[in-house]
Amino acid sequence: MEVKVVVFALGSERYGVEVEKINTIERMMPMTRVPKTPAFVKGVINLRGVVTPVIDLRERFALAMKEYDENSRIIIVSVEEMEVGLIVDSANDVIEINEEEIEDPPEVVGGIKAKYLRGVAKLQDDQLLIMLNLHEVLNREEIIQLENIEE
Amino acid sequence: MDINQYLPMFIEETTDHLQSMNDMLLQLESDHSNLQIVNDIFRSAHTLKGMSATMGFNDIADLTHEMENVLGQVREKQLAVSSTLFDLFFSGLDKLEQMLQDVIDGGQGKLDNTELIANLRSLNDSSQQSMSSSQQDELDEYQKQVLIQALESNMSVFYLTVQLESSCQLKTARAYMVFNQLEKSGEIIHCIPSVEHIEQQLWEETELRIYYIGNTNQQKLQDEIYQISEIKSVQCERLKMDQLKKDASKNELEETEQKDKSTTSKGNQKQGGVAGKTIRVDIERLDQLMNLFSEMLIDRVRLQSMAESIGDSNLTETVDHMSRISVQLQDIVLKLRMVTIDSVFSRFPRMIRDIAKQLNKKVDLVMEGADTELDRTLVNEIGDPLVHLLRNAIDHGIEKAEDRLAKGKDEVGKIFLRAYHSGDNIFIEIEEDGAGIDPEKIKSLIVERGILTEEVANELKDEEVYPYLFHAGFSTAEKVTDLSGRGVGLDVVKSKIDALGGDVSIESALQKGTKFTIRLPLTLSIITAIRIVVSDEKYVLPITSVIETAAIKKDQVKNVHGIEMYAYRDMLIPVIYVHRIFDIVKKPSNNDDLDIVIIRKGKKYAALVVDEVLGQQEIVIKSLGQYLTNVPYISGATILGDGEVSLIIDPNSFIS
Repeated sequence: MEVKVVVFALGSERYGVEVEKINTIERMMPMTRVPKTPAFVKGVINLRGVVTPVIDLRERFALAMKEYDENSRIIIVSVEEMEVGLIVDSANDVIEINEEEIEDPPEVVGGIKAKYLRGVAKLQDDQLLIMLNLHEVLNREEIIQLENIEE
Repeated sequence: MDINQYLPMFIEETTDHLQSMNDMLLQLESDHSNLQIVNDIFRSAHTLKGMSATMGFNDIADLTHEMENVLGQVREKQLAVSSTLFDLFFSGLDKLEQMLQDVIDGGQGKLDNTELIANLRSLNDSSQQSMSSSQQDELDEYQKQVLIQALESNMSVFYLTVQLESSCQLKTARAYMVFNQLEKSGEIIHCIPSVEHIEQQLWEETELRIYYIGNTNQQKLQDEIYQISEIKSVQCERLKMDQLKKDASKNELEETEQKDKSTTSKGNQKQGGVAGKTIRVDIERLDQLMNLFSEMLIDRVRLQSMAESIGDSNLTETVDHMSRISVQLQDIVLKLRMVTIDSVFSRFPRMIRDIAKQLNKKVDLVMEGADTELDRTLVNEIGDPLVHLLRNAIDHGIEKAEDRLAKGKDEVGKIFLRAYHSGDNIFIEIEEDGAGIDPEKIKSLIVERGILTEEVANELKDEEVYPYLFHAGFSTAEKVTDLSGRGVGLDVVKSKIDALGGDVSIESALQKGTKFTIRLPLTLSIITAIRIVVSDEKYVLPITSVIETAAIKKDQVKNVHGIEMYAYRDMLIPVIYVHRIFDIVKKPSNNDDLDIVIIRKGKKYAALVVDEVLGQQEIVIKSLGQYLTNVPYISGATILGDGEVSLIIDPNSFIS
């Protein structure tokens, strides 16, 4: 079965999220910091009248930080009634991949733990596409744990 | 015809009709003589029948058809309203609701109503025999008073029964001749059938019954009427004061009872009155409207700054005008989402009636503040907890009538359901004058359930005991109903209210009754807030907890046992530096002044140190979304006029 996937970049790796989980893709916009939240929560934005939290995906995965530039995008995803924006280096492609081509992820890919990954698919140019498991990426229990550690 | 496109409309309208029939039936139950209501119910049933037949839901149509028939008989005064009738009708409405639910769930609204329909039919058939029994109901209160006054001023009051020949061809003409004859020496107060019916020839029988005041005597009256042709018989009874008084006093009694009850249904009547002036709008469209409007606000602010820099007076004037309109528009858009709590309350009188009847208890429900407005989303959520608490109130709170009499209480138990605004909260109270809850019994149960040890439990004060009723471990116990009953599922009520950002408390006095108070925030509604600046971050504070803002000197802050305090009025209050709590890097300043905002929660005060106070404005409370819940010190967010998101500080969290 073919699935449509939005492809975005973090550093040199390419990642994918199923199109139906994505509401919109926005350019960077002013964010309001929310105190007492983990550092990867960059704040909240006014998304056409809806206050939407935004997280930095690099920081979420503890990758090296990078200044936002004109290629930076906020991908608004909705998972389990939650709407969250994910800041990525760039997002510019929608491709179709075959569900059967998605393989189980190795332990660690591009510095990201396997539990955040749905799988890995090989693209035509032999590059790897890392499919994210948004359910785990946006796991709220993890926020709460992090909060506790900070305290 | 493809009916599916009409289905949502059918469901909505049917829901409405069923609700209003419920309401009206309750009203009629407390005021049997109000034929206007019968008319309204009739019309609702008729509409329902037509709609459901068109949609092909035949079981709904059949049942409403039978109900309509019975109502028709009542309307024509062929059938007196009785408790059997109400029971049949209420169960009919329940069946209709059931069928409607089936339709909503995608079914065909099928249900076997044979028994109910048979009962309704037999009620209808009995109408012919039962009609003469309703003699006392023939006169309304006003007419009775007229007759009583006539007697008091020594006039004679007669009750005439005139039978026309069954072969009479011109009944209406004969009736008029009778009237004319009577009016020569007196006044007709009331006639059955009514004059309208006679005029419209809607008059099957050959009997006229007339209440009459005249300066004449029985014999003379009879003779005069016999002179008219085709009169079969005339019976004339002279009515005495006590006959009338007896009826009247009975009616007065009923009337005071009705007055009590009518307070309960006031909200409903109001609802009926404005029904014609409202339209239905999908809540999603309102959300869209609100979001689009916030978008527009951003452009408005941009436009304003552009107009200022261009400096063209025409442009500035136009932009100013647009700004004023948008302020009004904002007000309207925000209020559109508010609905009265009546939409929740309106189903309770019926529910209370049914439960009371089922448990064989006498209960009066008094509702206050049904016009209190709250956000639409809360209305949808609050229904179930209230149903739960009301059920508990009747089931476990209110005692049986004989027990109440034995305790010297009024045999009719009272349940008060109140809603009101206070500060930025909505309060809903459910209070009854029942048996109350024995704190000692709860204590022993707390120990029994292993929630607390006996020593600790015995230390508890009475008011500290009640919150344990909401304890989850408490409710799951099987035997809880042995206690004066509370506890079954109260933890569910509490978790629901908690989820809405509110809380619920309980007060009880043994033998006097119990009161539950639910506090709900006005989430998603509008509050007035003051804007504050801390370094380069902006926040808003709900004005309800702000006492004042002030500038103080740094040396006015005293260190008392390691806590920074400020002498405010005659007390020492803690000084809280917002930038420290929010981890904001503060720019060093040489300024000797501190801007503070004095906030209050109950009797506790605190001084928040901020960099600047920007003034106040109305804001829309928005949630931070499902991802960020329970952020400390923050109760929500709002979008300011420039489109920027500003967080709403929860002042209560600074005072603990």
